[in-house]
Amino acid sequence: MLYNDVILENFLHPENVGEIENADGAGEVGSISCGDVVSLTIRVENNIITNAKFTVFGGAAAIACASFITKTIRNRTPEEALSIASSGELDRALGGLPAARLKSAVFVCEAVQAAIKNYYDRNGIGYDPFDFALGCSICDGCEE
Amino acid sequence: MYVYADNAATTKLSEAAKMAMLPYFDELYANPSSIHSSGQKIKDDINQARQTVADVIGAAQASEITFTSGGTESDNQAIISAATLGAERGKKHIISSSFEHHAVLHTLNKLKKQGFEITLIDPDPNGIVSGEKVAAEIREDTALVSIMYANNEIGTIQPITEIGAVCRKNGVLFHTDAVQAACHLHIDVQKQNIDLLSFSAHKFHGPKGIGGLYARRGTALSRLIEGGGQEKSRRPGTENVPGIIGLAAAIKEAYENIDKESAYLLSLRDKILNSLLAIPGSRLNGDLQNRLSGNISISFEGLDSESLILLLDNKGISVSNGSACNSASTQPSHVLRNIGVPKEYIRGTLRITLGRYNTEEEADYIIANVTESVNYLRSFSPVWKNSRKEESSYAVQ
Repeated sequence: MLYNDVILENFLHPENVGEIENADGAGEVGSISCGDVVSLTIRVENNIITNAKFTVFGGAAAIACASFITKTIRNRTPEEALSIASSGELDRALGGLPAARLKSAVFVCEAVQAAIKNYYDRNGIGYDPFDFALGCSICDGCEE
Repeated sequence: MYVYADNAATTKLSEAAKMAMLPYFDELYANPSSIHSSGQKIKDDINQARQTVADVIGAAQASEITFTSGGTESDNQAIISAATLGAERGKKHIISSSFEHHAVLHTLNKLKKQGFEITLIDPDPNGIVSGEKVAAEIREDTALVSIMYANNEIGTIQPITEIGAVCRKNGVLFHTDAVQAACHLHIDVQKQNIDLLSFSAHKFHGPKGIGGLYARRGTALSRLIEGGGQEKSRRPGTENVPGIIGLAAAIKEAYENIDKESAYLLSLRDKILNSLLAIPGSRLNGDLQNRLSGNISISFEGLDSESLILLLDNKGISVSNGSACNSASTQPSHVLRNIGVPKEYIRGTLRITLGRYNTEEEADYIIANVTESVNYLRSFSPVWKNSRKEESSYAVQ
């Protein structure tokens, strides 16, 4: 099988699909040329992420990763969420993504970073810019 | 419900082919190269099978058919043989198209490294390579033209008769990869001026691992492997007897029903196609008229087809995006890229290929589930949302 049962389950029954209205942070990464576009919105209350939702243009790996990560970062501080949101962690937690689909995990993690960075920017919270991926980190360049 | 609609990838073995094969596993198992009567009986049966194939494709003689392991081997052998013949006369230029199967493209790439010059013609946006385009590329040193009969992803049928005439007029060998076309379309290698033709049994309800190569008398084939004198020394190794028998049974059955089956597939296909093209943001890839009757290649804006295929798989429907040979890649296929499918659509490409065992009820099931799954994936696609926003703002303007 291309995907294991954990990934298939997250793909077939994704949680937290949609957009949070008037979100506290929002981020969108990827492009149709790359194959994945991940959009993530978060609600932050008292420095805790109380809700996270996603929309995705992409394959099963992208949908599964997005569903999984939105569940994982709930009830965490943005700092904790940033440390959790790594493609290696996601790959491990989901029991191994096919190599060609690892980039979907990278996109999903970058969407988390983009949403948190947006939350920091809106609220004037300082951060080290090097903690955030500066643009698409996956390939050398694309048409977009 | 289980629906298999990936018949361009492979087909179910027909009952007739299976029954024809069975005795050759445990009763008629002698080696056709043996001189005892048991062996000679098998040799006769193989040659009878060869005659069946020759009759169906209009070959002048049964001896022009060589059995191989399938389409890939036939394509390799046809191209390498023609290249060898050309090189002997100082001709080292080959013309083909950019949307051939990898069995052709990778063989050409190998020849390129050996000093051959390869011209790959891009198909037009409808997925057709015209005879004029081929004629324009023919040079003094052209050894071979290799153009597929029908494309494996988008099902477009190439003007083979026209291309064959161009090649004959210019004295250039003509090979066609007819893996998707054999037993689905009427082929006449003599009338169509085809010198080399590849086919594979499992694409017309025969067994896997067996196919063949037609080579017009006088077109010497180069051996790809060395060994005994089987297949007139063109393809050494003990014959795949059950495979050859199954291939012949399948070809006979398919050819007897070719028009009836084609009309049936067309009715099923058009029913599905008309319903799916009614979905906003959808487009058919490749020409509608010059197209295999069972092929639907449709692209949906705003979604990725891998998700669509896996949702459909979960509902018991087996379909694909492009060629089964490319499924490990996450990049859109060379076929879709080379016919210029717009980037908004290319990742949302679904290939539904129907076969004789598909039913009306299955067609309805496909329509209902594809429609539902497309709507579902779009309901949370940021790309689809943006595209609709743009469209409505254009409408306001």
